[in-house]
Amino acid sequence: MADICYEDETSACESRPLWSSRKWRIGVQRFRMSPSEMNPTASTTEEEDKSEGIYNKRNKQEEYDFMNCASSSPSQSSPEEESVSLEDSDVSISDGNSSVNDVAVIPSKKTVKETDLRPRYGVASVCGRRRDMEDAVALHPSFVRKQTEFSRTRWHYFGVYDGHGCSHVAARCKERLHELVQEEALSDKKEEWKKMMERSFTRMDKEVVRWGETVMSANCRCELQTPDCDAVGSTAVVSVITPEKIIVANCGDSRAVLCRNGKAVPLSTDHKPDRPDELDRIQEAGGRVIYWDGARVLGVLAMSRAIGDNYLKPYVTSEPEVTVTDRTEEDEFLILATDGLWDVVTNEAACTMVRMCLNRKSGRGRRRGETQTPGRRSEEEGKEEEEKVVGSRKNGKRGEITDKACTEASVLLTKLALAKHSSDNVSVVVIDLRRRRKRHVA
Amino acid sequence: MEGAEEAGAEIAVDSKDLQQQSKAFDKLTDRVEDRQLDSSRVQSAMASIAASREADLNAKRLREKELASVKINPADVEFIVNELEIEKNVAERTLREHKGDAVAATRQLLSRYPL
Repeated sequence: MADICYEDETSACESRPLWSSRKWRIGVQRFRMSPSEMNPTASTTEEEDKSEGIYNKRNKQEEYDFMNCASSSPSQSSPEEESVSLEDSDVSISDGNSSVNDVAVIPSKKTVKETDLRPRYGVASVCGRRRDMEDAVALHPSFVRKQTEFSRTRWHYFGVYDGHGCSHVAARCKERLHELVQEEALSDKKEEWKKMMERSFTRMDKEVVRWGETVMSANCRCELQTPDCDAVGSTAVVSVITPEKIIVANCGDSRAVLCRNGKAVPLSTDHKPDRPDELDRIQEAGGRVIYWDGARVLGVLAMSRAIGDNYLKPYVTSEPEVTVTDRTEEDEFLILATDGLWDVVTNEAACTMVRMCLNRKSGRGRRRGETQTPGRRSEEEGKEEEEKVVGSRKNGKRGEITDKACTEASVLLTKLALAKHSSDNVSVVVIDLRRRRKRHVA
Repeated sequence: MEGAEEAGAEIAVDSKDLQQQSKAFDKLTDRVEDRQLDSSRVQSAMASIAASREADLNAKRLREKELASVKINPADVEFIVNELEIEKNVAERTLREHKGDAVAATRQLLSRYPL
């Protein structure tokens, strides 16, 4: 065991990229979804290469403490929001019952109009300062369409996966996890979200393990360096948005943050090995958490839950933590991002930045000319501005502008993470949750 | 024939000697032709230089006045200072240059990161 740990640490040191060295270029991959495409397919493309050594992340105790403070203060500020269940699983069960009751209620015409609208979203995903791109983003608006005798409902799927060891597990999750969730959603009539998500994640985990054992694709470099794929895994933070609820299932240390009335509400908690309940679970299972450049399971993996990672089972499970949140008028947007962002940016800072972008665009929609007035910009940004202007002139829709606002917000968040010397891949998804009814009234 | 050769050589030697003598005389005398300075031109040039400098100063003052009159949100300044780790006066000036638009200022300050 000591030899294994030593080898892993050596390779981890070797794979650690140096900021001073300019050999590795910052790989840039931006994804722009046009609103006309209702069902975009396979928009994310990443290099299927294996980074040398075990995935190495920066772990901050302060971030963990901050997470505790952040999770406690919103509950104090809004005691009436019993539906926000971050720690108590019983509340989510009661939410399931209440959702059954909600289905029986006859919706009004406004509800019918609201349910047909698609949320605006923006994506940005960069390789950053690592050698390989191991993140993956899945966007599937209207992936489930449920019809009842009263209304027609559409559900939207957003997922961010952060691979480690290699990228094929994250790529596999991107291709399959939303289909598994869809199957579970269509087969289950009671809408018990916790069980649905847990079953989906378990099936995804088994699929990944089976796929690793049978399919030996030549593109994966992890096959050439190690005899098996058991050291490869991925985090997964998944959000399903329905007209009434926001469901977040998290497995790993990516995060989902909701901005409600200007305040950051974390909808998921990071699965770090030094979290007290996770530590207890690992030790009861017979594992051990060793602090080696951060807390790691068996000194190897810097998170306590992941999809894949077969050789670390049963210490590392794929059971997600599911939260079901009722949607309110005060919900502004939702941010899904990997820890490449959250390691260097706080929840409040990210919400402030995105709020500036969204409010700026929607508030000053008529003053496009002023945006071009300041001339001190680089050529690249000049080209971006031209593209934006051309796009807005062609379509002339407000939704288009808002979509660009979401994309701009995600791009700015990614740049902020890079400016703060994030040493990981960065993937950000920003989803605008504001109802369009307000805009019509205004 | 011998006399003719001697005469040609003498002529050549004489011409070279003459040239050398003239050059030596030029070096000995340091006389320069007098040139009268055009005082009106000098005055107009100096006036134009002073005028352009004055205009630049006035333009700078106007620019500073315009920037000072721009209202900026202290919360935006604090956000940029804290999150982007930039000095306060730099953050304030960038915000003023972008007419208080925090998003545009942030975009410019982050423009060196390719994306």
